[in-house]
Amino acid sequence: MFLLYEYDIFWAFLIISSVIPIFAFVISGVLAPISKRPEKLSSYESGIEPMGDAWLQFRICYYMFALVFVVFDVETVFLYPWAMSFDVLGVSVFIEALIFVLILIVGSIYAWRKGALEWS
Amino acid sequence: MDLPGPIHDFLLVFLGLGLILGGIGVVLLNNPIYSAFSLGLVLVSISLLYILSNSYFVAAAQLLIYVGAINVLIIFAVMFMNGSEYYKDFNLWTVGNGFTLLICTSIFGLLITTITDISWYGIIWTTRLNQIIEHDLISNSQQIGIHLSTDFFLPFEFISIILLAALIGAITVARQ
Amino acid sequence: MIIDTPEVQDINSFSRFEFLKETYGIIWTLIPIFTPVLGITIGVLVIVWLEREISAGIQQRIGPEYAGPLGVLQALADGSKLLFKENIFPARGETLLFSIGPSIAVISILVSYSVVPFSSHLVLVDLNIGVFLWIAISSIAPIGLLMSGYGSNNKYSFLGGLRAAAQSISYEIPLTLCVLSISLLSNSSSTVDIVEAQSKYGFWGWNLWRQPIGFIIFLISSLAECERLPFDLPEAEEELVAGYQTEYSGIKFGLFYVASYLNLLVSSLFVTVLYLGGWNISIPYIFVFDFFEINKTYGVFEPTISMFITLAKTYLFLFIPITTRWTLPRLRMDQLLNLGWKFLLPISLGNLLLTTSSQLFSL
Repeated sequence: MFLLYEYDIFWAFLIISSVIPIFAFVISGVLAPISKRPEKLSSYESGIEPMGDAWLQFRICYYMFALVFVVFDVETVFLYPWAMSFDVLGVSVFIEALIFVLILIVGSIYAWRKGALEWS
Repeated sequence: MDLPGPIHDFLLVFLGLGLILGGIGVVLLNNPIYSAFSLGLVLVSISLLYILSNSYFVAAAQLLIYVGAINVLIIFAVMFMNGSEYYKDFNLWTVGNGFTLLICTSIFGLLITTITDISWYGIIWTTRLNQIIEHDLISNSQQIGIHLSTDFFLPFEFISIILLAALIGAITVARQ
Repeated sequence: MIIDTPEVQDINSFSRFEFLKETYGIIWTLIPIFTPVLGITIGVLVIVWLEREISAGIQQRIGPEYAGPLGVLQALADGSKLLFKENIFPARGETLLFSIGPSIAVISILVSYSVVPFSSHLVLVDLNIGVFLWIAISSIAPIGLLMSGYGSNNKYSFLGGLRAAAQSISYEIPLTLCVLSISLLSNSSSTVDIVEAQSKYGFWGWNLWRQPIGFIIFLISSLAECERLPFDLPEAEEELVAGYQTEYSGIKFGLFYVASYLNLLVSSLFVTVLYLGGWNISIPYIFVFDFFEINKTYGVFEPTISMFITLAKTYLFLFIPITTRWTLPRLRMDQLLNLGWKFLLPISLGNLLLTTSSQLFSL
């Protein structure tokens, strides 16, 4: 099918843009000087000796936000084809999407009330 | 896809390799965070495979949901567990692993037999005909939208209820 | 079946010809790709120079001056300096993740340039899910940041990576909903179609006038996605040194730097495409069209003009993010998340419903 010709360009662009960082690494690997010293390689902690492991336990809020995000992300994916077919179908679709969005608004109000969106 | 044959094959092999290596990485790597990142590799390869077979809307949805949302969620979860030193004392081979191996092998065998049994030519010709009929009128994602809001109206609404239930459940679990 | 030898030779030569044609075709597809890559690089250099000059102007300094006339070569000099710097891998870090992180950040942003239209035919791929692909691809970036934050094995980097990911996912939903309203207005997600839907009434046909709320939300959330001030929490100097880039040096730091400016450029290109009428000249009552009619025969002139208009709008728009940087103070983390989830998300949902109902009346 000749209509889909542009996809080779997409692939070529993808390959070229993935080559660019590799290319940069190679060039700088050739050009850059190397002088290793133990002090230089230790991780930066405001000038004092690094204490303990860096992979510390963080707060669960990050996880909660990611959870709520997944739900809304799925919602937007379903709304995209709906938006593109809106002019074909009209009023009935509008009501469907309204119900769809309203149910999710209920969900977000629940999340809000229960404090899932709270950074405390 | 109208790419010249060899390039298409090369991309297919390359993406398949990425997929398999990523999958092996998810299972075999010791550090769970490495596993989570190689899961990301698997999901990206799947999405690129979708682009290779011209279903770009599915590819974008795959990227957005699985890579952008679920993989980030998994990485957060793994990093969270990592801090609490929960995973460090686990056995290399448990009953669960054997059970999983059994299930996966049987699914693999089932898929192989199904793939060899199906007559792919019939499917290709019917879909090609449908494509030719529908292609002139509207774009691919528009068709998805139309089918979603007419034929699959009820599932569409159920999705939102499922999402609501998932949200409420997740919040309740995470608050404990 | 008997085939004459000359015929076989014919077939052979034909297949060789096909092979040559294929190679030629591949080269022919590569040229129009390298040109935009070069253009994008120059565009980034221009932004860096602009940012330095404008910042200097705001702070009543002189700014870059010595490298080239008006200091235009300063950005290039900075970039080539980074190539010559030593690559330091932190001793306790994970080297692989440490290198892959910046690469993912750059690639994910660079690929999204493939759907940006500079003229009605000057677009790498005119997919009919154009803007959706942009959103999908840019959602990979937080994984790269998490990777580099984790791979550095540094407390600042780790927290910076986490913050970057949280911020990016919080502002992605409002952004997506704004783009959704736009594609609802033009009944398509293809970037070319979106621009063409705005071409009717000149200046007044811009989506900016039909979507004022959406424009403001898009502006705020794209600033947050680019991690520009006032939303640069992932690299807040006072708290996190430099966030996820703390341990980076040399070209890896350069990649992050380039990625942030690439992101700024692509966001403002998308503002131009989605809200400011893209490549249309958009000044009514000036009869540029007659002018165009004359020159249409040459064919090169029109794409050049279109590209010039797109870039002019983009760079004029860039003054807003750059001046915002020196105007507004940084937010706190809880303020940032509250703004995203409790203010922008409900408003963008409301905006979507408003747009839908107005579309319903116009049906």
